[in-house]
Amino acid sequence: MTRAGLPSLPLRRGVPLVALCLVAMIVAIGAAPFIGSTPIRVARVFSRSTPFADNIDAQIFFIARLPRALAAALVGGTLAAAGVVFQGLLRNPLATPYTLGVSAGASLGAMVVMTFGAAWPVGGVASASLAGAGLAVLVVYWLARARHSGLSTTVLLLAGVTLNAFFSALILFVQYLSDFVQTYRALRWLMGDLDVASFAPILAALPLVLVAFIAFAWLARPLNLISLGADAAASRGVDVERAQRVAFFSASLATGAAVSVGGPIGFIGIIVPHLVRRLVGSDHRLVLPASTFFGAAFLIGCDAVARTILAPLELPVGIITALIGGPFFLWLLIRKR
Amino acid sequence: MPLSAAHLSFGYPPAGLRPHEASPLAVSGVSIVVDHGALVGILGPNGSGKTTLLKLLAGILTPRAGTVMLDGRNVSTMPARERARRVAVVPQETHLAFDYTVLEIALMGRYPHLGPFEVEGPQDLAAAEAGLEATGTGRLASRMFQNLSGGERQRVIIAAALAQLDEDESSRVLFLDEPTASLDLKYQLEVAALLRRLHDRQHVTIVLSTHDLRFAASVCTEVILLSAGRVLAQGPPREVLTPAAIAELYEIDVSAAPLVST
Repeated sequence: MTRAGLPSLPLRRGVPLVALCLVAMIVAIGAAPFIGSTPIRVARVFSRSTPFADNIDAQIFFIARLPRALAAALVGGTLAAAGVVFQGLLRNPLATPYTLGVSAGASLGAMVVMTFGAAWPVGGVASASLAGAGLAVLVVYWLARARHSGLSTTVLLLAGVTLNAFFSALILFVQYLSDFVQTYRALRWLMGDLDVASFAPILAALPLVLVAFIAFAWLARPLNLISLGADAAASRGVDVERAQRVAFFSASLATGAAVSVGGPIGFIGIIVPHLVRRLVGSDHRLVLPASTFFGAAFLIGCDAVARTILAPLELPVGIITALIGGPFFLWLLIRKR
Repeated sequence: MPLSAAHLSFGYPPAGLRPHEASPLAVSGVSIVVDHGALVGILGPNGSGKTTLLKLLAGILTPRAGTVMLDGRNVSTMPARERARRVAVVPQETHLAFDYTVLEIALMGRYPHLGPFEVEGPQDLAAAEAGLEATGTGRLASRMFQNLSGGERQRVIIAAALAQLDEDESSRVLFLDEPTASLDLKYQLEVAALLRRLHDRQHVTIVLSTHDLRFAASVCTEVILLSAGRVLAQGPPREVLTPAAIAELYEIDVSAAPLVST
């Protein structure tokens, strides 16, 4: 075999595809604010002749739609990347950001504050959901560590799934104690909604997401090796236990932050990684950034549909992701083999 | 002597409800020496501790007692990446969570040669290609791993292990756990030929575990008989694989099952 016949580094060949996903995200962020039940025009949004207080187009753009598009980008990108990390950690392509109980904990925290909320000190529902997510993560981690020297992914999975069910029961119990208004609000939150109405929730979640993504960047190569098996990764010099711990906590942190902004929006964390792997292969150094960008673009697109399909009624975006995601995922499964 | 073990003992933590109870030893008081360039087979029945011993020697497991020394250094206290550049392990079977190309798998062998955020360069590509060439899998480079046959997979994993080891041939050891257990006869012969080639031409020190007496007798320069976690005998196959030793090892009547003819 000649040298010329051998392929170049596979990583390099995936870079244009990652760039393509980045472009898709930027285009989506730029275009989404101009889609909606009230038409706005670019010239008027950026017009300097009208003061902001009188410029309806600018107000719609900067107060309602741009924060919403950015929230969708943050939540979509974060959930997709967290999905990739959970799938790598559990060595299971069917894992989601919610498999290990993070969303159930977040939902319980949100429900409790919505129902008995007066005493909760700061940050309202968002911080309460983050606290709930943190509680769930610590319980699952403690269980997975309790009987093993390392982190058992089997126990992690069992503990997560069981805690999901247990917290769901607690959520129903809290709902049972709520009045009609509280129940309606809680139900809307559970459906997932990106109507953030300001940049504040995005800026609050951003530092947590950034910390998680630094960890993700470090994890990309260890997750590749863990795909071969824990022993195989260890024999190639990976500190498997540390990689698993970092993966679990960073992906949980990212998921908790995303859910605190948009509620437990489903399917993004499983559909997007699946699609992206078909595009760029399985190397996590490509799958992670591509999923982040594509997940952002995908959720912005779903949110645009949610805002316009029954206009002037706005659907919660979680309904759209599930409506698109469910059948689409089934189609993927059937098509694969 | 590149690799030696002294008074090695190990037991897995019990899986039941009494974690503080002492568990039985899977490997107990094992002392062995592996010479440069040797091709050593660890032989024994199922459950005799072959795989555990292999993992202890390779530094994947930390012994409860005793030490493993590689070129005068303790394997279990050596930094993981440094150890991985000298010691590579080929597991019995590899099941991928996600599918990679053959070249990607070979390049993963370069992990201990790269910094945390470093990307593979030309020399890593060259090492991966050399590994694939040495195992005769260069033409498969762009195929998906999970579409390969069992024998091809085994050789690709060996290629990744070769890419993992330092160029310097004096202190590198390749461990293989049951390299032929899940392969049919044709692939068994292929793997045997490959191991002989690595031994003869590249002078890689090879330690493998197997329960296949004929395979060990035909490939290995030295065999270690392991029974219930203890060494029964060590030496060249002709001297060690006597009917009496095999009868003791497998607790069978060898005259009724004439498996070996050395």
